[in-house]
Amino acid sequence: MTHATHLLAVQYPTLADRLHALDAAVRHATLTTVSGVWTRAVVLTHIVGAARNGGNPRDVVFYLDGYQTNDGRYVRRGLAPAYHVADSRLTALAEIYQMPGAPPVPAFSEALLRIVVAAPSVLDLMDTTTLAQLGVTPADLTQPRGATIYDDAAPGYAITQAIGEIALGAGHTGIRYPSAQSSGGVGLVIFAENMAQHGATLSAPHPSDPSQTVTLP
Amino acid sequence: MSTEMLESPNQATVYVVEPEPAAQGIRESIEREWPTDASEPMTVHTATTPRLALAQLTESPSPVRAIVADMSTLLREHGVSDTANAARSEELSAAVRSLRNQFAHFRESISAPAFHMVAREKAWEHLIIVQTSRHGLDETIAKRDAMDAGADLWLSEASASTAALPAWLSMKTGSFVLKTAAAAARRPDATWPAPTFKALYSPFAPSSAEVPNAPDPVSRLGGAFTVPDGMLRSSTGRWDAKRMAEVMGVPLTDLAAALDLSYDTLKKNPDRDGAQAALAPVAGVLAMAWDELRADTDTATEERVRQWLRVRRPPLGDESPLDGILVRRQATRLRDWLAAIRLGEPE
Repeated sequence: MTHATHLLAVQYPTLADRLHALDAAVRHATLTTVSGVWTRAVVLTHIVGAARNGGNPRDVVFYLDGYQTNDGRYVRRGLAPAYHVADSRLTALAEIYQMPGAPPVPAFSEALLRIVVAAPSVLDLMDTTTLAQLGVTPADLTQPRGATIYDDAAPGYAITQAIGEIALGAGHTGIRYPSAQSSGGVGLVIFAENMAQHGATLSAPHPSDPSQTVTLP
Repeated sequence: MSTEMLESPNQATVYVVEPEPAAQGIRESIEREWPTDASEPMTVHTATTPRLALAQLTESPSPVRAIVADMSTLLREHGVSDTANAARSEELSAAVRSLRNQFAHFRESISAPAFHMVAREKAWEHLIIVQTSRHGLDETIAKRDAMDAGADLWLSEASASTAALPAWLSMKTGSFVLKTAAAAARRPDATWPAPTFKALYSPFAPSSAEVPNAPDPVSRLGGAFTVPDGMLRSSTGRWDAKRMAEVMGVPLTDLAAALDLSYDTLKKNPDRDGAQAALAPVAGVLAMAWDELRADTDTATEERVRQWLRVRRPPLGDESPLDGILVRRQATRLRDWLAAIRLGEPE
């Protein structure tokens, strides 16, 4: 059992058995290769700021990375750099509206970026066989967070964050999953630190010259 | 036409589809912001409807790079006369799709060979940029539908567009941004890099020339982030508790209690050094709210911020942001949550 799973099991004792079962299942799950064009919605000021600052390709990392200031469904706050893309423009937009319902502030100016992904060794939670191996259901993956922003614990994220942390530790490249924000949508999270060992790449438009691309890692 | 095209293939043209005087403001903004040493000079034309803009395209002697259209204008073009009450976002989708299709058709049908040649060489993208004005649509839904229908960029308000649009166009239309960015960032009147941003997360005002290179997560919130000098700070550049309490519409004693600071000391010295770290997260919340709620006047914006602070939100446990600061004493969590949304962190 990983340290992460243990901590989550302590935090959510009612889920302990399921979390323990996930440990081996995620490690030994059948993995898949994900490739093609994906989308990411980016708040415009990031791109503009990057362009104005000279278009450093590292800026792409900053605005594609997430979960640095708040918990993500699969990646808890500060766990590791993780790039997040979606299967459509609609899903991409829905995914960055963190809270359903009325927006906390007026809508931001945003741009949609075309992201080309080539990622082997991805845990595929869209695959029913994989879900059966893991003992989870689609409903487990799309629960509401179940807490206010002031709470450290987020019961609705317990299962998914466990999957994310185990997958990261197992060296998987990423996770493909059903979007909780856009019905029928699909999301993909790529763990930056596991990309090189699998030869995974992710290409995004250069911050100041969209005719060029920046390829990560 | 073709002669002029061949002689100046790098001339860029933007059509602003807006009724006056909004169109004039956007035009002036683009012309003002367009770098004078850019390899592509910019010409801005205006048209009152997308159809008129498209009709003019065939007369354009230079590459057209973008159409900027207001949602209300798009809806009217699509036959929706009562745009103030148009809660039918699918009509906006249809209008954007229609504009994109017309634009694509224009590219295919134009007869000037030079246009195609240059377009292919430079891998042009014609941008469809949609922005909002006062109207009856749910902005969140309208944005989603407009972008899903093919808009490339959404600008939330005319005030945002005046700052963001020229930079976006610069970025999309060539590499000269690389050459001019450094100089632009050092311009005394430059809005980028935002001098106020880093200030939100540190007790004292930074140098306006500072650019966060390897920023911490929250300081990634760069970009156009402007708050008037006197709104939250004293003349020394420090956070001013008295001023912040006024913006919040609460007594200074309440703010002092929430931040575990001495009211008597703050009353005498509202920007004292020892209070700066405690005041910084509150300043961050207020500044982000201010930046997004900007109105025609500072006074109007302050009133909007006060209203926003008092609206209950489900993610906050059906409490208001003001409760988060004063009752829960969680200004830092609140600031980070707003920062995450502003950063576009995914769910």
